Amino acid sequence: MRRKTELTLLQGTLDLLVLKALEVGAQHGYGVARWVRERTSGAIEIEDGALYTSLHRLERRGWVDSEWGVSENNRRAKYYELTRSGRRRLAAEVTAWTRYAEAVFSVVGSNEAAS
Amino acid sequence: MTERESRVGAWWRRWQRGRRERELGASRALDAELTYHMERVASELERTGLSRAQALAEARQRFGDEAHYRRELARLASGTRWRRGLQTWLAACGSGLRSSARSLRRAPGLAAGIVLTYALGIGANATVFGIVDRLLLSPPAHVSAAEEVRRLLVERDAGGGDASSGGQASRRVVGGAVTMADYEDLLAGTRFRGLAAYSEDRMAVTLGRGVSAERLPAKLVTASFWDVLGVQPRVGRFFGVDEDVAGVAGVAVISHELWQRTFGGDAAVIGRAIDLGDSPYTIIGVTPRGFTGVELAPVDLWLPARTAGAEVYGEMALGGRNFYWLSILGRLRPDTRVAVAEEEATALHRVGRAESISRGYDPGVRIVTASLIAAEGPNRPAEVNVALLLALVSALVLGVACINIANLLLARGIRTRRETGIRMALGITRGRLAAEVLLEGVLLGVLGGAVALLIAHWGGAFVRATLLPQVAFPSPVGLRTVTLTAGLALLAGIASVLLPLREAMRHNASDTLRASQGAISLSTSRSRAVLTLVQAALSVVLLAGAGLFVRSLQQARSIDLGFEASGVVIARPVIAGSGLDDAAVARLYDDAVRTLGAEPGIIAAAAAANLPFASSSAIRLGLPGRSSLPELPGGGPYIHAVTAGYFTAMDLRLLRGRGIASMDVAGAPPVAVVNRTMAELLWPGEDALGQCMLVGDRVASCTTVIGILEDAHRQDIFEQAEAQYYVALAQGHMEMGPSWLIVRAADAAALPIGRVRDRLLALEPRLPFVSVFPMHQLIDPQLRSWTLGATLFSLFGVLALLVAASGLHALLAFDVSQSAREIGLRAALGAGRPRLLAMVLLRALRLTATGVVLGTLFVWFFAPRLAGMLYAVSPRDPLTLIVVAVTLLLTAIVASWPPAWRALRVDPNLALRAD
Repeated sequence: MRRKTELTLLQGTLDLLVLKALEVGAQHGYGVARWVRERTSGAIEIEDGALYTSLHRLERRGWVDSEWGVSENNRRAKYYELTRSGRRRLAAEVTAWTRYAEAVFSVVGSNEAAS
Repeated sequence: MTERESRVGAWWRRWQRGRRERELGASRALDAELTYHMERVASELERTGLSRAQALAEARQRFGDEAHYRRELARLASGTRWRRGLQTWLAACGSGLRSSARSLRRAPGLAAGIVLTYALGIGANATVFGIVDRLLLSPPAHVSAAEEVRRLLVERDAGGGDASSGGQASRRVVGGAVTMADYEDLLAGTRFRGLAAYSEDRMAVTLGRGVSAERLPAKLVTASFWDVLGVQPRVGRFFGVDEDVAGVAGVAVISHELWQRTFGGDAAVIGRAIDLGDSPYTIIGVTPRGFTGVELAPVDLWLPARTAGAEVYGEMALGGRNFYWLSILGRLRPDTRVAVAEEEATALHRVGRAESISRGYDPGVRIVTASLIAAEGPNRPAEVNVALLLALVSALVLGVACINIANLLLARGIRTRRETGIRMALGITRGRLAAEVLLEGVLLGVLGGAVALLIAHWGGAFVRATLLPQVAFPSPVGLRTVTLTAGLALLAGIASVLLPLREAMRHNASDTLRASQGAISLSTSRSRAVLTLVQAALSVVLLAGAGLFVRSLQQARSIDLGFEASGVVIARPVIAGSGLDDAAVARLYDDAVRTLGAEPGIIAAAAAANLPFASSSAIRLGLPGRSSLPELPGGGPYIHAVTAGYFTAMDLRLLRGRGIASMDVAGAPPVAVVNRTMAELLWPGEDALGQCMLVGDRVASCTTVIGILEDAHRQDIFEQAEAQYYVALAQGHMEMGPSWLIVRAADAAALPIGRVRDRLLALEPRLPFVSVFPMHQLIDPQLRSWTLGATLFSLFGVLALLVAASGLHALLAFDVSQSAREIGLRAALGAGRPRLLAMVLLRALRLTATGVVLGTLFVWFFAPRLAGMLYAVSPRDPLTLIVVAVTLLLTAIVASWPPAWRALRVDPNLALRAD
């Protein structure tokens, strides 16, 4: 049984989540997917395909680097890692997103207070 | 050091991986990656108690549409970096185009308005460029290596350069015709590969007879003309040296246009004999389409200079140094410098002219050369300067158009701001957004350019036909015009979106989403106001220019010529080829004057030997007891031999005495009427009436002055008064046979041109042709530069005004709709209707007035540069400036009235509730 999508995600936001997932260290795609699911407690459902697309896109932009390695269960897997410019990008996106969210919240929140 | 190492290391690893993946194949690498993923997800799910099959299904479910993502991933991986970049860019272009097409479709009115505005602006430029290019920039059509061909011109001191008047540094004049002997002098030179001469004037030659006859423009050219220009015949051949000799059977080359028009483009036309007045000519060739020699006017017949020259002008055209009728061309040897060639030609010319130079005539004469391209030559016609000015003006019109479009797009940008914000939040990059804005601009510009070509085609045809009838245009819209149009379309498209682009770049998602519709950013509003203001200023400049030219034209038109050309029809029977002798011709004119004079609707008919603005002559004139007569700068006195009706037909004003009458016939005492200038010149302080003049070879008998006329112009709109007198045609002064018929019609609006021709052909069926035309045709060419300036300037001025008015209207309408809340608030707070109306109108008037002040200042400082092109009007003409300012302010009120009215109808309740 497929859960209903509770929030649809904007493209820019997905990239941000993926970058954030790689902040702690190199990860393969599966790891990123799991990390995102755990962190959002399933509130945001992301199709894994979209996640891989995002990873490849970030790689092409030079924010993420990849390397084939051996996984914890001893299988060959492709590992992704933030590059230096990827880290800078992450920091910038986080700031912008926070400001955006605050702005939206200041509107939405005040409306709730009024009603 | 470590950083460097790690960077190199990273590069190395990436390269290794790249190589590996290339070996493995990108798709297999992807397979491996995705298979691993599915495995992990499935085994994780299996641990929660699902069966293997269920787990795999769930994993696939979580992955989403696999085919779709694989395509996406393959696209990301495909190609080299550069190719990928290009592909993305093209894809962005494609989707950009699609999205701009979409946004244009959503507002078809706006899109149509913008395209039309571009079309008018670019079309104006293309039209004017077509003219400027032909008049100024292009070498003559079909001339090969035109830069090697030079015009050879005589440069001499102004005013005849009589040695006795010399001493002061005098003005030099360049140009003027030369004699056949002058041309032949130069043939001895070696610096030119070839030299050719052609008749300076276009002659009119009659082709055919009677009603079906045509008068065709003809040029007489030497056989070398074709080689010097390097032109190739379309059909047949050109004539050679042995065919350019006096007395041989005539051959003719016809124009492509005549070939098509009269001979239906039939190649069998070669060898056909055509009847050109007195003798038959055989057609031997056809020029290529659009060939007009080295001048601009169309030519239908090219005849050998010596054969036809001897026939038309007599032997004097070929020998002697008194018959000036030729212009010279030369093709330089490739290694020859212009100055060297000029020096040699000057030396040869001075040898040939040694005799007259030794008599002190034209002592400083020399030969100079000039390019075939009019812009580079001396003696530029007045139209050329006006055309250049118009090029500038049409650029201004395009400027106004671009500003207007920028303004409209800015307004739309504000309206669609929320949408833009959403798209940015969705992850569209600024670069992409910018590319879309740019693409939309280019798309609009190109569409406008396409329509502009149509405008240039039709508008150009109209302008050429009405304003430049004497210039032949080889093609309606040339390749150069198309290139220019394409360039302008791109440029204009980009220029118009620069400001909207800046606005788009300033956006960021949160600001944009936060901004409510009511709040317009101050800077946007200000830049739109500035644009509107600049539009108003440019409109002022254009309208002021139009005003100055219209006033010049008015002034030039209202110059009192001393006669009234309106309502006058001129008729000229072509005698050559009719076989009529002098007596028969005289009888024909007598009959014609009598018959036409009796026609209903014709006030007077007369015959004359000369006609103002067409021909004039001076013969020997003496006064009893005086050895010489005082002279005027314009020469003269000029003689007119006329019949009795002449003064009425020309509407000359008699000051005293009487005019030539029907009783002044051969045998009666010879009489003359002098004009005021002549009376004052010859008999200062005396009464001219009753004085005796000795006219021509009639030195024994007095010609008595019986009347004094007000001065009338002889050949130029701007001439100084000249001494002229009128004798009776019937009293037969030497070589003064009738050659013009002058008919004054009662109704100047409906000239009886066809009727006059019919009556004359009925009187003498042997006439091959009768030219009949309004007298204005002789005068109007002198007004052409002002007509051109006034017409196109007015057209462009009105265009700019309309565009600016629509811009102002759009600005205000938009502002009113955007500030509905503020207006509603004011209305709710009790602002009365007049107050609200004034609020909107005042904004419009403030903007326009500022624009008017700026534009007027500009005119004040720069218009004096136009002084040379104007006539009898100050470049700072206050009347023009006032009329323009008032026009602009009135237009502003009209344009702002609908938005102002709408402001009144804003419902305070709705406006306040809207937010």
